[in-house]
Amino acid sequence: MGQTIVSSKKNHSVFRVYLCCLLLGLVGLSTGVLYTVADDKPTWRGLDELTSWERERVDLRRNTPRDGVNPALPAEQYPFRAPYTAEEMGFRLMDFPHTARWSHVMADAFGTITKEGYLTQGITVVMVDQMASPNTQSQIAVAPGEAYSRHMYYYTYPPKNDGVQEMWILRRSGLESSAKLDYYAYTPSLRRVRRQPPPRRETPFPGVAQSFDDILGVEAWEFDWHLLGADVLHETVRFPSNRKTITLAESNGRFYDEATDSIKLMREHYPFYRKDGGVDCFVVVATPRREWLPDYKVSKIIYWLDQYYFYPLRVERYDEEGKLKMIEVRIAQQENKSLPNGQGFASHLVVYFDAELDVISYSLHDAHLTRDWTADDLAAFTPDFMRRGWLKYPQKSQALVNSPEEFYLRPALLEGRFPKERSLTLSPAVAARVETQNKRGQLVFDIEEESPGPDANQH
Amino acid sequence: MPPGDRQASSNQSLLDNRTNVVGDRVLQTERPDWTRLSDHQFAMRVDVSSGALSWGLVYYYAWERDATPNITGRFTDAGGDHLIFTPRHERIHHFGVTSDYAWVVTGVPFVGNLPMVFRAEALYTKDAHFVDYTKQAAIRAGGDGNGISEHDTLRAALAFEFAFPSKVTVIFQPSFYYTADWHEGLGVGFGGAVGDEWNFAPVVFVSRPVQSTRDRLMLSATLTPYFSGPNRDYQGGKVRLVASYEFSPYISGSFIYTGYSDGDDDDLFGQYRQYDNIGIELQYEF
Repeated sequence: MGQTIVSSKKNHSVFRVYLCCLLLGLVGLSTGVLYTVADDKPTWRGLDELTSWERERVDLRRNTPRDGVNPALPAEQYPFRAPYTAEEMGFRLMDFPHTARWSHVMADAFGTITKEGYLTQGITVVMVDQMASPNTQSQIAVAPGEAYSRHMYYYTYPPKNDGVQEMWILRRSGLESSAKLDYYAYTPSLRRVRRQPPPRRETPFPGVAQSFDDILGVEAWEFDWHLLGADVLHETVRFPSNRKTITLAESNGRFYDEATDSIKLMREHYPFYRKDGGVDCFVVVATPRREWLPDYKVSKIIYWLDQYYFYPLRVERYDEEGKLKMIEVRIAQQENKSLPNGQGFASHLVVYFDAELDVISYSLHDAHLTRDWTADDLAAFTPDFMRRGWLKYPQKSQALVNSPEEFYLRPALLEGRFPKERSLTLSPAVAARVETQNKRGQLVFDIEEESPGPDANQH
Repeated sequence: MPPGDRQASSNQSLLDNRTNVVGDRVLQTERPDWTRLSDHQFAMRVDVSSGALSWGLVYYYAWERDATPNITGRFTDAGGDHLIFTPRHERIHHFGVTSDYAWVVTGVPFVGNLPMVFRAEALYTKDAHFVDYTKQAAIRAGGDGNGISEHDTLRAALAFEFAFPSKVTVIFQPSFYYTADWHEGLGVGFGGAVGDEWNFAPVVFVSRPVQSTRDRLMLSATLTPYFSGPNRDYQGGKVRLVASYEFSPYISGSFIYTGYSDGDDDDLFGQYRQYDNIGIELQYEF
C-alpha cells in the first residue's frame, strides 16, 4: 500500500508536472501561433483593401485627363495634387532616377558579381549639370529632343580605367526622337573623344546588370500606368551577415564607419517610417505604350513607391514573356535639404539583380556635394573638355566591397505578393542559390556542395 | 629588291641605315631644333557639338614624322658611282575636317530600334614629300635635283557604327587614300596612296561579348579587303579574329588569328599569303 501511496503521490507529482508543461506548452504554442499569424499577415493589399487615407490619396481612374496642348501629359500640372492617378505617380517617380536631378558631384562606387563569385568594381566621379529645375519639370518643359541635363563621368578606379571619361547629354524623348542621350567617350590611350551610338535602352551596359533605362529612369508618357495596391517594405538592399560596417564619405571628404544593420530604407531624415520601421508604399505597374516603344523588350515594370514622396524603393522589370528579369532595390538619402516635398532624396545605395543570368550589381553614391556651378565649371560640360583630363572635384569613396563573400545579397523576392501580376519563376539553379544565400546570410558560390535545408524555401 | 638575309645581317652600316643595298651613303638625319621657336609644331582645332551632330576643323603645321631622303651629293668608290643622302624631316600643312552624327533608326526588320553613328573624317595634306625613283634614276645618270617630289594627298574615311541587339557592334568603314599628280616611280609619302594613285579599304568590324560569361569573353572579327588603282586593283585581303578574355580585373588574355588571302607576291596583303599566324597575348595592368 505504502508503495501504492508513494506511487500515487509520484503519479500525482508527475501529473502536475505534465499539466504545467502542457499549460506552458499551450501558452508557448499560442504565443507562437499568434506570433506566426502576425508575422505572416500579408503586408500587401489590393485596391479593395486600401485604407481610407490611401483612398483619399489615390485616384483609381486609369485614364488620366489629358493636357489640351500636349496629350502626352496629364491635364493637371506637375507636381499634381492628391488624389493622384497611377500615371501622375509615374510622373512623380521621375523625380528620382538613379542619379539625382540637381547639380552635384559625387563618387559612384560600383561593382558586379557573377554566380561564380567573379567580382569587378570601379569608381567614377560623377558631375551633373541640371540645366533647369531640379526635378521632373526640367524634362517636361523642354521640347522632345532637347537637352535637360549633362553628366560627366571620370573613372578613377581600377587603374586600367583611370582617366577614362564619358559625357552624357540627356534629352527628352519624343515620338519622332527616340534617342534619349548623346553619348561621348574619351580614352586616354587614344587621346580622342568619340561619339558613341546611343545605348539600347533596355540592354545592360557591358559587364553589369543594369541597363541604360535602369540608370536614367523611364519617361512616364511612354507607359500606361495602373495601381496594383499598397504594400509595406521593411528592407530593400540587404547586407551580408559578415559585413557589419561600411565606410562612407561625407561631402567634405571625411570618412566614417556606419553599422550596416542601422541603415534604414530612406535613412534618418525620412519622417514617415511606420512604428515597425517599414515604409508604406503604393505599388504601380507601368506597361510600355507600343506607339512609343514598339520594340521595347520589356512587358512591364512594377514600382514600390513610398506613399508620401513617391520615391521608388523597389523596381521589378519583366521581359517580353512576362518573366522576371530584373529587381532593383534602393536605399535613399536626403542629399539636398533645400528642395521641398521630398525631392531632395536621392539614391544612396542601389542593388540590381538580373534574375535570369544571376548577376548582381551595386552602385553606391558617396561624398555627395551639391553644387551651383560657376561659369568656369560649366565650361567643363562639353565633350572636348574631356581631352584635358582634369578632375577638378576628386571625390573619393572607400565603399568598395572587400571580397565576393561580402557582396550584397540578392534582393528578397517578396513571394506571394500580388501573385496575379508578378511571375517570379526562377531557374532551379538560381532558386537554389537564393535559398542557400538566405540560409547562410551571405552569397555562396560553391553551391554544388551546399544542399539547401528543408527550411530554406523562404526567399 | 631588299638585300638577302646573309648580306643584311653582316653589314653593320646597312643595319644602322648608314648605307643602302646599292652602296649609297646615308648621312645623319637633320632634325628640328626644339630650342628654336620656329621649329615647333602648331595646331588649331575647333569642335562644335549641336544636338546629334558634331563637327570640327583642324589645322596642323607639323613636321613629317618620317625623314625624307634628299640627295645632297655623290661620290665614287671601287663599286662605282654612288649618291649621298641626307634624311630630312620636312614641314607640312594639314587641313582636317571631322563630323559625326548619331541617331536611332526605328522599325528595322528583326531588330527594331537600331542606334547608330555616322562618322566622316578627312585630312588634306599640302605638299607631302615623296621619294621619286624616276628622279633618282635621272640623278644617278648625271642629272640634278634632290630626288624628291611634292604632292598633295588626301586620306578620308566614312564609318557607320551600328549597335545591334545582344551587344553586337558592327562597323563598316570605307577608307580612301589619294595622291594628287601621281605618276609611276613614286614612293611613299604622308597621307597618300601606297604604290598606286589611290587605295580603297572597306573595313568591316563585328564584335560581340558572350553574355553567359558576363561579357568577360569578347569575340571580334575584322575583314579588310584592299583595292588600288590604276595599276594593281585587288591587293589581297586580311582577316583578324580575336577572342579576348578577362581573367581578372587586372589580367586579360587574347587569342588572335591573322590570315591573308589573294593578291600577288608584291601586293600589300598578297605578299603575306603564306604567313597566316596566331598570336597569344597576356596583359597585366599594374
